[in-house]
Amino acid sequence: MGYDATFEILPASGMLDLRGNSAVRQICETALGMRLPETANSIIAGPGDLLAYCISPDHWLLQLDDGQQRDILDSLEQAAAANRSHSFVDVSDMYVRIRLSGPEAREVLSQGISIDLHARAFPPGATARTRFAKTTAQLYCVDDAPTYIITVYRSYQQYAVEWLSYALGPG
Amino acid sequence: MQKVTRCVQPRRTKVMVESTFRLDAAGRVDRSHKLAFKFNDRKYVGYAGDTLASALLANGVSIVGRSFKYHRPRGIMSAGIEETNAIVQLLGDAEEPNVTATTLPLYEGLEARSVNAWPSVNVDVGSINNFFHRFIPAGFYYKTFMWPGNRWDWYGRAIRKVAGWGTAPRKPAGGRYEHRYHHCDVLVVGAGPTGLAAALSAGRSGARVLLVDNQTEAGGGLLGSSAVIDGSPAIAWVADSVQEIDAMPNVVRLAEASATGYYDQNYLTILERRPDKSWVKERLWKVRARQVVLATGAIERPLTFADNDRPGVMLASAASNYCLRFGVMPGRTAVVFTNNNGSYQHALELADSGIEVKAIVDLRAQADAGACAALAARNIEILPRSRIARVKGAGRVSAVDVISSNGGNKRRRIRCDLLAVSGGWNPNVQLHSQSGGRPEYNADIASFVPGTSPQDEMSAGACRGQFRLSTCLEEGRDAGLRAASACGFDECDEGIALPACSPEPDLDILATWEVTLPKKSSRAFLDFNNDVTSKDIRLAVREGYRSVELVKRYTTAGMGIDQGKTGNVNIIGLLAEITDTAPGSVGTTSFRPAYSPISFGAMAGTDSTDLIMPWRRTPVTDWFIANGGHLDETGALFRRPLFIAKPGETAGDAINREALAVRNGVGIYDGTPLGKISIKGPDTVTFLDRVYTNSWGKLPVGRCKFGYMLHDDGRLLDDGVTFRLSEDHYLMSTGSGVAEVVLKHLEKLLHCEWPDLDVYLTPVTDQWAVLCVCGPKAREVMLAANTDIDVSREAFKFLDTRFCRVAGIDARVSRVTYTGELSFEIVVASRHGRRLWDALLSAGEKYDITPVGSDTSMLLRTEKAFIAAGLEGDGYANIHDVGMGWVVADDKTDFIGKRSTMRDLNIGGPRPEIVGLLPTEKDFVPSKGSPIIDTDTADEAQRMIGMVTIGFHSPNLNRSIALAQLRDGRSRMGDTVTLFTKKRLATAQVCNPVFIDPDGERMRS
Repeated sequence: MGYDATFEILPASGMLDLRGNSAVRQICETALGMRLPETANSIIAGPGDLLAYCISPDHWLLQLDDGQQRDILDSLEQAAAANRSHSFVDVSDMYVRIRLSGPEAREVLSQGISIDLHARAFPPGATARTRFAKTTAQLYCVDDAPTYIITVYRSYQQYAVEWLSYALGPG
Repeated sequence: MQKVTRCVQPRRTKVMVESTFRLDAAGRVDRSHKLAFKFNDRKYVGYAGDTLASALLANGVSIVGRSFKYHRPRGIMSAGIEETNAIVQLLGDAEEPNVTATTLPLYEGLEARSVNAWPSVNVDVGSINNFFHRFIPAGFYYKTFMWPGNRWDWYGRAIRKVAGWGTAPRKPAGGRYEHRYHHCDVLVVGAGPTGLAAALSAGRSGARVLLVDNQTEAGGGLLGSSAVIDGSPAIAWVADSVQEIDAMPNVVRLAEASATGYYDQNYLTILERRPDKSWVKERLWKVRARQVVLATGAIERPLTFADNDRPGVMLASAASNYCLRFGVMPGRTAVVFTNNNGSYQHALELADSGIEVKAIVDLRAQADAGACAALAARNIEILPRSRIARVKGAGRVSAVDVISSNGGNKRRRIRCDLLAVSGGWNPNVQLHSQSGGRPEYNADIASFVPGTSPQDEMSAGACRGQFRLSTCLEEGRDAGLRAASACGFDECDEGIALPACSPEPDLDILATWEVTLPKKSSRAFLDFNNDVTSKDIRLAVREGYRSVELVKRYTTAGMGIDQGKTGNVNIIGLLAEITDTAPGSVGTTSFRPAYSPISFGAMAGTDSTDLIMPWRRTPVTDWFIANGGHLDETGALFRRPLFIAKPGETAGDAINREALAVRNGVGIYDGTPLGKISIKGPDTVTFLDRVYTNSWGKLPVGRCKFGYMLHDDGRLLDDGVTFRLSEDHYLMSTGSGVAEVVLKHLEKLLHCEWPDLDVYLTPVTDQWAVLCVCGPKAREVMLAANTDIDVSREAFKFLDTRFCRVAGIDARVSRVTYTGELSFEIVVASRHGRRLWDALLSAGEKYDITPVGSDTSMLLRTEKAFIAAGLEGDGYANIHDVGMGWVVADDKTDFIGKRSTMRDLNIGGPRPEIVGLLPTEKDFVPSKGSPIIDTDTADEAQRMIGMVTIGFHSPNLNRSIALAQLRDGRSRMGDTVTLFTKKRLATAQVCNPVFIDPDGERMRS
């Protein structure tokens, strides 16, 4: 019974919200040795567990190991010392990540996500900020199981869980 | 009572035997799989593969329903979605009204009954209407129920009982309704020969194809046809095609799935019944297709002749379909009545199935020679230039009277129990029309075909008026290839090989909109569903309704459950004939979704569950739920406790207790929903100066300031405190309910108005938990909670903000308040929110710390006249009116709303000013919105001089209080005014709105 997929809440990760002009990409490369993705709805993995989502041309989310926020924020600010035109903010507690995986994960998500999730259109490595059920999510396709990481706002966590449980069908 | 009341159904014993109308071998039903079912409380047996309609025919059931208005007995007329008579109420767990028996697959235990018949289909009280039909003509409702004008509700109730269709189920549906979004390159609607050819060709190109069909199996018309493809029965070609399609990973095929709506940008809704998951009753697919191929086929239409609605009158193609697809004879002795060559093939199929076809009555002078020869070989008489004048038999056709102009117009009676009719074919142009296309009249087929569509859509095959099988296959293949190619899949340029089909003659139709009626009183039905006859159309035209849209609405023709699938073109043709124009000039009425009926459940999907709206939680919500918090939606989808009741307490008790605690002891409030926006960048101060009314240049690090934000027109948008956390970093608080509105407002300004400003915003509402400790004993609680900074009045002043640790948790504490008491607002990362709440409750235990809800908070702010933009600001009041003029920096060159605010001041005149009210009766609480009236003014327009914006019983003052907008209120201090509230008048004294601590000593303490 139920769709062939399962989900779990992932342990907290660090998350930084980066805003600024193109100089921010250089700052990030200097401080962390990684370049930020250039176009919206794209993602780049950096050294270690660093993962950068591009949300809009001047907006990125940088995911990192929980506990590293302060150090990484400091090194970014240091690299940006000469440039005041940016905003780096710790938003680690603002988001909750949910991992949904299984052969029918796409059938579960497409009940509440209107973008094209077919492997041709949204393959592993694809990301999008989009409507999920009746809230906002950052969606990331991890592998072709398929596995998705759905990043939702913390206050919507319980709703997202209830929605996913229902969408999975009677279990 | 009519003669039809005699039961015509065969007598049944308890043990079900093989039905008498079933053929021995033919058809696609599984004779080894019997299914028992009940119709109108009688037990029957059918086979797997039957529809309810075919199983009823197999059991000899001729009357399946009663007509809408005249309650005439009606039998099964079609074998598909166009059915207008066999509409049933499905009973039991699957209860559903208005299901067409012709599309309902039979299942074990199915129970159904006729709609619109009481007490039964065979004995129907309403059929008395049939005698009085001349008194209930078209427009009867409009003409009769006009007076008295206010009694429509009364008539409506009675009419609904007599004229209604099925009844709404009383229980929730068994099973869920699911929505699914889907994208594809090519959507093919219809899996008949055209659709299969299109899907095969597009599928082979590699495009993502979605093929949908509303029948239980693919094949369309070929399922009940004797057509031959490549020397084998056509159904073998269907099976091969389906096998190949189902093996393609890039093709999704849905059965029992109807395209119900075609919207803009190639967005279509598809209703799938009985999907692959057992718990899903229906699935609504929301499809975005790059290209759409419509292969929706055509529907045969009846002829309009006297008594053409008798049970036993059936569309010729349907009669043949029942024989070939279901192995059921719809009758034993048949007459065929036609105006085109297509019926000759159907007559042959009936004869070859064992039905005695006595004659083919043809309105035309001459039929196709080859077709005539084939009929002659089977001894079927052909009667050219002939018409049917009368159909005998009330409960079932028993004979027809034929008049041949060749035979001197003499009547000849032919006995039969089946009259198979064909008035031609109507291409299914509904979806094309919904896509924005305008159907055009084609005289060759005497019907409408698709025009040009503004969307990426093409029609192919029978729905384009091409009825030859070979043409359908070719058009389907070409459409599939063109659609795939338009999506960039042009590698495969040949598609499927076109198979050889048996030859078919031209349709050669003689357009016939009404067969001459024998008597003035004869009735010929156009819309069987709504009982609209040719006479109704003539009457409507006589009364001045000439446009097809008006005739439709006046007569209700084409407005039934079937939406005129069989009737519309006949109505248009007749209207053209009466008004002496061409059918093309009359045009079609607008086709709108849904193409076929769709359940409310399918439209709602999960919106019929609690998931309809998300609701947001804070780290403390669970504590409130467990401890008597009375949760309610309070803006921005957050549910917060209005108050936290102890066992036995009323709402009033709890609010009073909480309010007293904050003024006399200490309370704790969860302010997490407060909107928070981080602001950084070198131009932040310039930005704040422009969006707020006051000046921000001198705010030091570690301090915060209250600000008011206005709309361009000077009305109140939001107020809140903004903190300066470091040199370049500011944090703005907004009202909980308007957090997103304010963010959008600010982002729009930065993007569109001031792109030159170097400022970046980040919404951080969910990042932080905000807990507010408030009351005279708040400082003691902070100390007890091990706050690691000096919290004394001197070291930590009102409007200071400090980074520190509280209860061992990294925090930012601020001296801000919404209650007017000594307050500490403690902000920690959300993950620590609940831990801090617990720590503060235990630190405050000895001070009897009291959790406070948002109703209490609203009472406390009322006592202090802290303005709520949503209550005291009403879209007219300006910042001076609400007593907040002190937040305006007049020396600033500009801020948003400045010009409009100045304009109010320059114009002068009376303004709605915020005042306090002390009701004369101390226990009388004026309700929100109560008008304040000037009893001395006779001019009604001038009588209302104000309005209560909020009223409370204040436990701290031990009396009722209110805030109000009052015309020139500040000059009326001490006056007594009259309130109109709860249907009576009351009086109140106007006073300073700040009821408690007007000098603000407490909050600075």
